Amino acid sequence: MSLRTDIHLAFDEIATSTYGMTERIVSAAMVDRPRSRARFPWSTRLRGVMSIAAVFVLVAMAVGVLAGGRLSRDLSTFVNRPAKTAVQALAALEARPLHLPVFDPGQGCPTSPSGIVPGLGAGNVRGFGSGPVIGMPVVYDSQSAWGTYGFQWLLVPRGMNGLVLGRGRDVVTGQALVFVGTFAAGAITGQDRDKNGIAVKQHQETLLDTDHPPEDTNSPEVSVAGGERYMTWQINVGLPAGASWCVAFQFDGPGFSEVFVVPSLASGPPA
Amino acid sequence: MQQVADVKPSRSPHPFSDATFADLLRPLIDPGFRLALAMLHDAQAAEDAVQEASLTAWRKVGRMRDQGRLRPWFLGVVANKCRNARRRKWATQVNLGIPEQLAITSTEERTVRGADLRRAIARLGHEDRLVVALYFYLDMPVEEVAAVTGKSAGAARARLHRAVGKLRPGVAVEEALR
Repeated sequence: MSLRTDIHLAFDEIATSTYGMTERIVSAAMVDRPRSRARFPWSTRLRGVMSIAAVFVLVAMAVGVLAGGRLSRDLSTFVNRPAKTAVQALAALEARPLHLPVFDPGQGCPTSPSGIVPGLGAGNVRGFGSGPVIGMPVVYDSQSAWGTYGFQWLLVPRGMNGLVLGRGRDVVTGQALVFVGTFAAGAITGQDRDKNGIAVKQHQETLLDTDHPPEDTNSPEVSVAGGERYMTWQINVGLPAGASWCVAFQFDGPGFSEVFVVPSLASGPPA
Repeated sequence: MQQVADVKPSRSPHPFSDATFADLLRPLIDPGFRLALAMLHDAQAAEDAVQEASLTAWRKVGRMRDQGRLRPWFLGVVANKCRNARRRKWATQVNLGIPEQLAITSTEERTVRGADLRRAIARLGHEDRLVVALYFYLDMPVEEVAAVTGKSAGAARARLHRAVGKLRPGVAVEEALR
């Protein structure tokens, strides 16, 4: 038997019936065919255009990646430069020595010179300090197991630029003032819960970025004597239990360093 | 029915109407299936290969330079589909009809010889297996084998000689090629 015959026999015996196979395959090919030609005729016509568009998209993506990387680098440089400057400026402010006074308990609370600040409250709100930052008395806000919290308005000249660093302490007990809330800054010295039970972090500093003054109803723009306009900044402060709430602040800013002592309108909840 | 030889060259991407293409395709299915069967040793896989080849043929028939050579071109497509089928992972699970340990329960010597021969062909490389299938199972002349494989007639004959030598080492090649 020849090799040809053997091969025929070898494969014929594993071949299944091919009845209907031809029409089955041809029909399948015809069914599948319109999908790429008749059912979506536009796809064939657009194939070349889409290919070109795809090339443009790839090129645009490559350019975008390159430009985006450059832009990102530039933006990073843009963002980091002032931040780096701010860090340096803050460090310089923090390096300034504190000149906060300490008084004996029998001396009462020798507050700094003050004056009426028109436009605030009922017209009897006094501002303390000779400027450029003027402090209002600390107003009681809440109490916790740790101590007492209050808020204070600060007046900062409208045209001031740069960072203003604030630190403070109880001039009678010597306890360091803590700052919480929006303008709190610096090292965290502790953690407490506010009147709403929300955890708050206590910072040892407050930082005012006068280039970006607060724009809200709690920070109105006011005029004091001489017509100079000030922006009001509301900060939140706290003192541990046992404090006298005769508080001295030191504010350091570009070209100035000032200290003033303010009283508190209440050191605890009303009796 | 329109014959392959009657197909005139065309530069159109789709030179045939649906009916014309179907008419051209029908006579190619059986040789395509037999070729795929000889290559894959599995009827279902062979039919799948021809099915895929048919779709490919429809898409690419417009690119043929000489549409008068539709048959060898189509068989070449089938051969490629078979090569791809064997390369695919599932191809390792295709029933090649060649059990490694053949349990000879039948006394029919022909069955044993057929299995041995299929196993021997399965061990050939793709090109060798292709020329054997085309020449011995599809009964193509060497010139048409060459057309399908894209080789010269001399190269096809040489490959055929080598393949036969591997299949039947003890048999004279010319005798086998008769």
